[in-house]
Amino acid sequence: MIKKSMEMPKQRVEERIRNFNEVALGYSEDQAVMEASRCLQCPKPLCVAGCPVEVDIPSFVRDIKERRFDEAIGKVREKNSLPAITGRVCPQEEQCQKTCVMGKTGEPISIGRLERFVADHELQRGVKVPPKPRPNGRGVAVVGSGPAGLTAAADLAKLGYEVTVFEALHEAGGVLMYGIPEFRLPKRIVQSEVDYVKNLGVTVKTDSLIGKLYTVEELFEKGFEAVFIGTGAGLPSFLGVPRENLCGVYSANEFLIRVNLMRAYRFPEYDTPVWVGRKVAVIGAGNVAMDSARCALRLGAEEVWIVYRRSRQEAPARLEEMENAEEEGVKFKFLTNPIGFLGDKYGWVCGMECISMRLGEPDESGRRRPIPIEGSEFTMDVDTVVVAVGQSPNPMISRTTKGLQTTRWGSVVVEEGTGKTSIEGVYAGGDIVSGAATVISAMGSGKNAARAIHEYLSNKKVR
Amino acid sequence: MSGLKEEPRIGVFVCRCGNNIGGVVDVSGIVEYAKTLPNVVHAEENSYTCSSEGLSRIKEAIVRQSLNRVVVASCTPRTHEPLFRAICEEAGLNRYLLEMANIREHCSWVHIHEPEKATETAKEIVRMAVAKVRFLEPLKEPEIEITPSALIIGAGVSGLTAALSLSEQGFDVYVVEKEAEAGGLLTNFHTLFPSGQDASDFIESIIEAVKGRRNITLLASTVVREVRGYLGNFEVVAQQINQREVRLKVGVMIVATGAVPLESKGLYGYGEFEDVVTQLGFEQLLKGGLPENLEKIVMIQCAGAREEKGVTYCSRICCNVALKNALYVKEKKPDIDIYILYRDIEAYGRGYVDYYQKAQERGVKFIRYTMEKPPSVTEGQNGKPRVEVFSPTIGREIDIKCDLVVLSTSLIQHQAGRDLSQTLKVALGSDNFFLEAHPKLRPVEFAQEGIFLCGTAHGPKDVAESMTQALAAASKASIPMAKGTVKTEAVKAVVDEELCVGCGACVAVCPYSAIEWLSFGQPKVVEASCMGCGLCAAECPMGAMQLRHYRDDQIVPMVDSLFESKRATVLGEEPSVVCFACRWCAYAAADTAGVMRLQYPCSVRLILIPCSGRVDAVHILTAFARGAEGVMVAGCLRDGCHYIDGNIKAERRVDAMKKALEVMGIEGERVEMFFISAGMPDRFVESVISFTDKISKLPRLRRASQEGGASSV
Amino acid sequence: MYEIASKKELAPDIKLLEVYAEQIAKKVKPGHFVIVRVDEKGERIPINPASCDVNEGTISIAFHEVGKTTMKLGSLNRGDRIANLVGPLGNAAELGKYGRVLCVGGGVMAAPLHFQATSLRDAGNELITVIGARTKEQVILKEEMRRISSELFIVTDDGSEGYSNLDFLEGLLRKGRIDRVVAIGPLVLMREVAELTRPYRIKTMVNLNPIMVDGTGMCGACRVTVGGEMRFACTDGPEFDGHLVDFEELMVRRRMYVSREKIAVLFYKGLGGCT
Repeated sequence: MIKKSMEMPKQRVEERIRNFNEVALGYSEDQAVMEASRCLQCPKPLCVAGCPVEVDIPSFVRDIKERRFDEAIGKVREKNSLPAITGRVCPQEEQCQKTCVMGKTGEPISIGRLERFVADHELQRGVKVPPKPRPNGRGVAVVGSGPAGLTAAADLAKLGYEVTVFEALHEAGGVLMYGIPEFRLPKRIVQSEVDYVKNLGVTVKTDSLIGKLYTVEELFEKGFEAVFIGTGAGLPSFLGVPRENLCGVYSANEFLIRVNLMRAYRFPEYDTPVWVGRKVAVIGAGNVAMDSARCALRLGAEEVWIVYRRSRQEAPARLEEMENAEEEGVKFKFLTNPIGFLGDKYGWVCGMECISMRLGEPDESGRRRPIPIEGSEFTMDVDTVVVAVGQSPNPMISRTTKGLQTTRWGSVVVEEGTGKTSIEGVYAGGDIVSGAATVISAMGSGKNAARAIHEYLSNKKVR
Repeated sequence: MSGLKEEPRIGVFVCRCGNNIGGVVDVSGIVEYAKTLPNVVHAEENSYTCSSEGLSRIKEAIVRQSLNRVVVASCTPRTHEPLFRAICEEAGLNRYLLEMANIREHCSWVHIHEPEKATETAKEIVRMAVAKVRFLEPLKEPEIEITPSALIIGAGVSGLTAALSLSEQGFDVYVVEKEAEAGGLLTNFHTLFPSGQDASDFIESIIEAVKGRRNITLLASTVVREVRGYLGNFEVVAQQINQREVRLKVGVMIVATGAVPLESKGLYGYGEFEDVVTQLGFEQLLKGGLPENLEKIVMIQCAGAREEKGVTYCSRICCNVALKNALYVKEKKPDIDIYILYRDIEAYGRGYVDYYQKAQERGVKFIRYTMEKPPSVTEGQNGKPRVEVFSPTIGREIDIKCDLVVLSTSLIQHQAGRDLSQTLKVALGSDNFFLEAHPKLRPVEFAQEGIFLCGTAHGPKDVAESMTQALAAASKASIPMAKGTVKTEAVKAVVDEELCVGCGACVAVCPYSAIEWLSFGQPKVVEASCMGCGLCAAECPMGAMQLRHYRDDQIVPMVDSLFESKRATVLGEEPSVVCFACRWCAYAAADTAGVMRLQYPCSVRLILIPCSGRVDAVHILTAFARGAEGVMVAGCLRDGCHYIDGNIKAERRVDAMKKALEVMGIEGERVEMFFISAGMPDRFVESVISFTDKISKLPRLRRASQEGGASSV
Repeated sequence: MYEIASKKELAPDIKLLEVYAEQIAKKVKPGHFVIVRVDEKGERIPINPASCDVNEGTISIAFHEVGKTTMKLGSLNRGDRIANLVGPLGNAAELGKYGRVLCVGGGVMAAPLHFQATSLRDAGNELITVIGARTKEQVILKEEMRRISSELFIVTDDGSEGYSNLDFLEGLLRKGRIDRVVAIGPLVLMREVAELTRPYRIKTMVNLNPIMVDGTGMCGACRVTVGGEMRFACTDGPEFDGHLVDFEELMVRRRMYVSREKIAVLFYKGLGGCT
């Protein structure tokens, strides 16, 4: 029994901070086989329950061990339509790997790395075009081509529905394209996963903002019999402190959209610019903040600081991402909260006023509440700020769809387990329901909604 | 488009400068070379081109050969350009159709041991000058009308002295004073040194004189809020204490806002103990008569001055003030014990050394201390101050229990002065006092025309010095008013309407707000306010805004010409570096390096621009596209830019360029920003050497052809 | 991909492209904007449509060639395709029967102003129109505006045609009988108009043009301060009450990428421009 997991080969720090290439290089075949061999093949596997989409983990791991890579990826794809993505971005340490029995005495099986391995292996050799299911002539509209939408679309297509995905941006993938940087999730991987979904017969229409181009009502008028809303939590939150509109202060969304989706790191080859000065402060400590900080480093910042109002223990980012960031030279200022910005006479940010915090009693989220320490104000020298303090559900659909019930934070109210909304035939899943969460949980809700839509349409008379 | 409509006929005059140039480079060879350049119809050499003989030869050649462009290849333009321009004008040629090639300070003096390379370098410099002169255009110096009235800001001794002087010359004068009473610092002073005259009597008599003059208007409790306009036509909005607005139209302004003594709580117990006062506080005390129970007084010099950080300068007058006060006290009550704790005694000027001796003779005790071990002031028994000081002279601590501690604190700039520098857009030096245009050549005026400076607003000085400076400022301020109209520099910004898209970037970046943004987006350059820095031209994304005489289509040909022919074999090893240097600092530093005969490799070619902020993507990208291996952008020190902060803008542009270059596959380190003051020739040389070194270690950039011409990037 | 149906030059460097976009044509109203991306490597920019033709299934966009993207757009011809066109975005302009409406339009923005003015006229309003530009060559849609307005004034910054500034508006406003003002043009123009109408308390609607990236409310690049609060021009606007807009702040934010723009234009034009 090997207690330690096979290490993931990574780009060397000095090199990787100068490029946007993927940091984690992936297992070789031998490394994957060795890691897969560690699996005990438990008769009552605990890992599967930890997976939001219920991938048959022991089977695919055994297939890897026996070098049956095609079978392995086939097994994965039964439940998971985006394995190359989830293998990279799932917080496996909170999910399948957390419940893995090996974790009790040593390190759990690196299920995520194995899933990535088989998915990449398949991509290299060419993804097999899946057999096109027999169409049943009934149309379903999916709004949003992020993980929730793509999963719902794929599952519905596999059941024979004619699915059209409406995407507001010019490239499909949602947060996978614009939010997660190239060095964590290469865009060609997202492209191939989207292509796979398209090959199942799904039509993807970009440049289509539902709510404006067509309302949800109009979709029904066009002949769709059900609509799945997976529009995500793309509304950026700002701090609400003075002078937040100075030049050089970005929301993390804008920063990442410019860098990832619009490839601003290749300006002037690509036309969209982004500004990164010498001293960058990223407010927040979630994955989005880590991504922003690591992008800023690669864009030439001399110093990048994560500024977070709670302590390291409370930071919501994946440990792996924080470690990567720290390795790359990102610095951390915990228990610090910005209270305002200072600008130079040209209207550019040149400083950030902060106050030190201490932790008090826990609040509703269970995390200890940060309390400002009176008199501890100080100024940080910065010329770029990225505000990564959270995203909320995009209000476009709720504003334009009569009768859609939402919470006061803007998320769509749904029935648990099915994603059914207050309007008949309309379902929702992903961040638009839960607020900003993980890719895999969005996929899970997409799965559930597809199942529920199928049930609904099977019982409904065909028009 | 620039340039004359007729074919350029260029005359090149190469100077031997005795042996200064001739002793290193092959001057005749350069003359022969110049003749081969396109449009050069005449080339000759002179021993001393600046001599009357040399000058008349230029004049003759212009006339005889119908020259319409002149290149003088000699020393730095910063010395003799006005001379050569004048001779062109005498010969009937517009003075702006002249370009100088600096082959002395930037060539023969700094490559003394490499005459072959120096000669080839000189040829390149001449070629660049010829390329630029081809595109120069005749410029007219605009004339502006001067309103014959002056505004003086500050009614202290300097401001009032200037006011009286201008009033006597017949000009209307407005004096604006933020306090309720005129007089400034002197109203609180006791006596003046060395005369011992009563200070308030003195200033009162001046105030009376001012009040008696019909053409001086004194506005107390009034602060200048807004200033628009330019030399001859300043529009001033001032605000009075009752919120009333006063609007003035004046031709010139004089800044005489004075200074205040440093009052720092905690400094040697100031503000914490009752019996610790500043010298100014002591003077006020003395006005009321010497207090009764004073037995022992300790004066501490350099209190809060000459430090490593903060107030680093010497405040000039405090030693004399301390001596004056010490002597006065000793005279009144000889048995009072007075100690003066000092680091150095600055008793300069007529009679002051005698003062110092007299003080010693009268028994004033002088104790020296060092900056590392300053004195400490604590509360002794009976609540009186106790001073402890380590004397390096005797090697031990001295403990003095006294009745009063007097701190000789420095004079510092006050907030009103800082605010005013923003309102007027004039520069402050690193000591926060107002910065003159040039310490020797233009000591009582700012870089902006029409605004003058005097008194302690410029820096600590005594009353006599302040009054002298005030008279000088008044004198200089009167010149444009007396003339009635004044010609200003022709190097101004100009906008090409066809290329302009009305984005307003130029309006925002101008440090002098000299560009008006009209209703539909058209930028309008107010020529009289334009200082000719070129930041607007650098900022303009369409190349519509240009700076006359430093247009893109005048600078870029210089870069082109550098690479248009195959490099001389002897220069082959040296990487080709283009350095854009600002006229006020970096170029001057390079000149001084030449004067000091500091030597450096033949790699760098300087291009003169008014401000480093003039340099932008066009110039840098063109340099690399044509074949440069490295580009230096050199401007003033960070907080010493003569156009306020053009150098910071330049730094930002260089940063942006670095990233763009990386994407193009060119190492970002090939372009670099340098901050070099005129007084740092060594830093210039070091920068050139280390930059050249760094460039030579990088792989050579590809060239499209060895014959020169554009390389594809 | 969206095919170009026709191309017209309205002025030097101001082009009008008619583009096939059937569904957008059905839904677009004055006040809306569309996001355009010319090609794979292009950036996303907002443009206010000048008109729509539901029968043809086209919308028309007028733009001024002020940077690389608009230059690239202007170089396309009939039959060429634009990579991406998203719309209609933002909120339609307020439309009602107000009485006499003063319409002020600057430069290329006279095109969307014309779109809005036509609706206003159709809703029963009388139009007093002012259009202007930096020079007379840049004044567009004069005849089209004349046809729908009861009075038309021309203003040019250089005085080459009509008035040389907006001072004459004082007289109009003082005489009373202006019930509403709509101003669409450069920020400096909209700011000036709002200041002119403020003392007369006439509602003045402006259409803001901040820098945008997605245009759908995701990034906050287009954030403006209106009435002291943060608003996104792409989802709360782009039309706002001109008396509440912080124009200074918006002007500064619009200039954020000027130096990058210069680099991009240089690359597009092939460096230096002095060969």
